[in-house]
Amino acid sequence: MNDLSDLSGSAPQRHISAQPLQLEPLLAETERPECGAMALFAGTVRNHHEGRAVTHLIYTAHPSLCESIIAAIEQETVQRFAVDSCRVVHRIGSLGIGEVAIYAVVRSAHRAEAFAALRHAVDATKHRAPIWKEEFFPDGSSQFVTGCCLAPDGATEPGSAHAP
Amino acid sequence: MKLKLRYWGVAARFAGRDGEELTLPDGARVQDAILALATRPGCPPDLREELARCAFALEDALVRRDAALYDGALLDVLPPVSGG
Repeated sequence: MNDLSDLSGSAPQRHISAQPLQLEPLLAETERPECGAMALFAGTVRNHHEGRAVTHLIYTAHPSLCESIIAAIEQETVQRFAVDSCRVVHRIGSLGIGEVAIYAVVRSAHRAEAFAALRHAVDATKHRAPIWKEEFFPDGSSQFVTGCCLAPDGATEPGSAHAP
Repeated sequence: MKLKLRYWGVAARFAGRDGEELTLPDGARVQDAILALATRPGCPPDLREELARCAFALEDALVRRDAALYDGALLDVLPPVSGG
């Protein structure tokens, strides 16, 4: 698979991890004495989707593009909401029910901007990071979850990919 | 020119592979690569339909469909994303 083969021998990944996500390093890294608020979001794998039971997920990601896009989201979050720090890390590979798929941490002086910035960071990552979720069902079948189009010029009409 | 395609997510499933090489006339743009893929004999209908929803990246940057291609380019085919 593209995702895993590309990880070997490349630079350390700050924003995606094939290993279970660790919260403590994120908290330590973002700690600031001037901050009175720390907002944390953890997205975990749930056992159902649209009425179907789900047994596990596989997340794949375009590693280098994912690194640059999530780094840009962190920077934009800090600037737009005037918070002190923002970190987002997303898991890739096979995840069981209940495992953490994403951690987002924001620290700021006060809570209002921390909550708003956190929501932005998580939503932006879901909408813009090149990550794909494949859900597996009890019968062994799987499907990719329908998501957000990344094309800077938008999607063309379905079936018209050949249009100039 | 020759380029290498990499398929991601559901595009890899529909294509039945992670990537392939594609030969195009000089001066080709991303939309010409999409056209070549979608119109060639044997293109899976699911892939043809998915290409309309895909984004494309060259050298780790998202590009528009009118972006110029070049010999040796690595073109990533990125279907709609679903992280989080």
